[in-house]
Amino acid sequence: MEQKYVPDDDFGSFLSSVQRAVNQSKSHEASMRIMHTLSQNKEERVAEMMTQVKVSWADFNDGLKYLEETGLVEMQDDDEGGLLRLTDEGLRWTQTMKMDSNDDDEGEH
Amino acid sequence: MWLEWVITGLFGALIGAGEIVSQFRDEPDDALRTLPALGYLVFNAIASLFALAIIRIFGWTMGVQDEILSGWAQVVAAGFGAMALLRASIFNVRDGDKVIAIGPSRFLEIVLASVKDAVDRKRAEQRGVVVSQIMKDVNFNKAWQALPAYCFGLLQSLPQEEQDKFGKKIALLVNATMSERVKSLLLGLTLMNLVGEKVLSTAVTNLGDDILMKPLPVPTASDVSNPVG
Repeated sequence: MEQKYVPDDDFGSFLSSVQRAVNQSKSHEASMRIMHTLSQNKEERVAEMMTQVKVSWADFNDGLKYLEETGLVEMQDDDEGGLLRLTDEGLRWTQTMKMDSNDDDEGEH
Repeated sequence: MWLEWVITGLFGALIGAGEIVSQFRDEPDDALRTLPALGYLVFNAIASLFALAIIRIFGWTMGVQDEILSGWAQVVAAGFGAMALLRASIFNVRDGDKVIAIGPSRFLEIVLASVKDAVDRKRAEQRGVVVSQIMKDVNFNKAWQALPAYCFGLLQSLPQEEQDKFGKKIALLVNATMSERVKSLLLGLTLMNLVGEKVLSTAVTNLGDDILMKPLPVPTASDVSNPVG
């Protein structure tokens, strides 16, 4: 059996992954909307999330899949279509993202 | 006589402490100093004392004839007995993929989860301060490729899978509509989780002006004497 050769790689995987992912901007918009919604409510049902983020089913699906791949959001399957919640890292992200809106609020006053 | 009660209490507390330390190997001090952790130790100590009281009420000598030795045998039995009893579950309930143990162990699981939350909160505060110090002058647009690549180059051992996952997170930031400062903080936070504080700090220092915001020009003597230019 011929074995697949995997080259040593210090940072090449990162660079190719980030370049590839930057071009998927459509699913990123849906992903960020999901993150914003989850930052306000700790967890949300998939069906309710769909109505809140207001994107097409395909974009929502891509955005959610993308977030699960990054490990920022996890979905727990249940009888009602699944429950979405932030992982520990996702929670830290949204806490930092809130600094942006806090700055905006302070700027307005 | 009172020494046996003290040792029993300490026995219980030590078992509780060992359990917490084993779960938080990287920061055992932080974990033990939280309020839920102290509550956990006290609860274990009380359970051991209660077990010793029961053993003495029923006069269990553990088969040892000598009175002094029998007292110490009771101490050991109370310590281990309370530990076994508190960690026991009567039956298991299955909820989807999860198996939930019903019994005294359930209570201990809840307390341990509170300790974990308390430690995470404490660490989050420390991480937030450190990241904001390291990343305070970093320009996200200059750094989002160079800084991670340099850190991974320094580490030399980050699996490709982790690099892919990290790349996806950073791509999310590149396309997001948020301030550069918050993007830089998130870049630093995510990177620090993978490479640690020292590598991140070293990388920012080494890359220097290549990733930093443009410094304000220092006024020269000619600028001061001829401000209009």
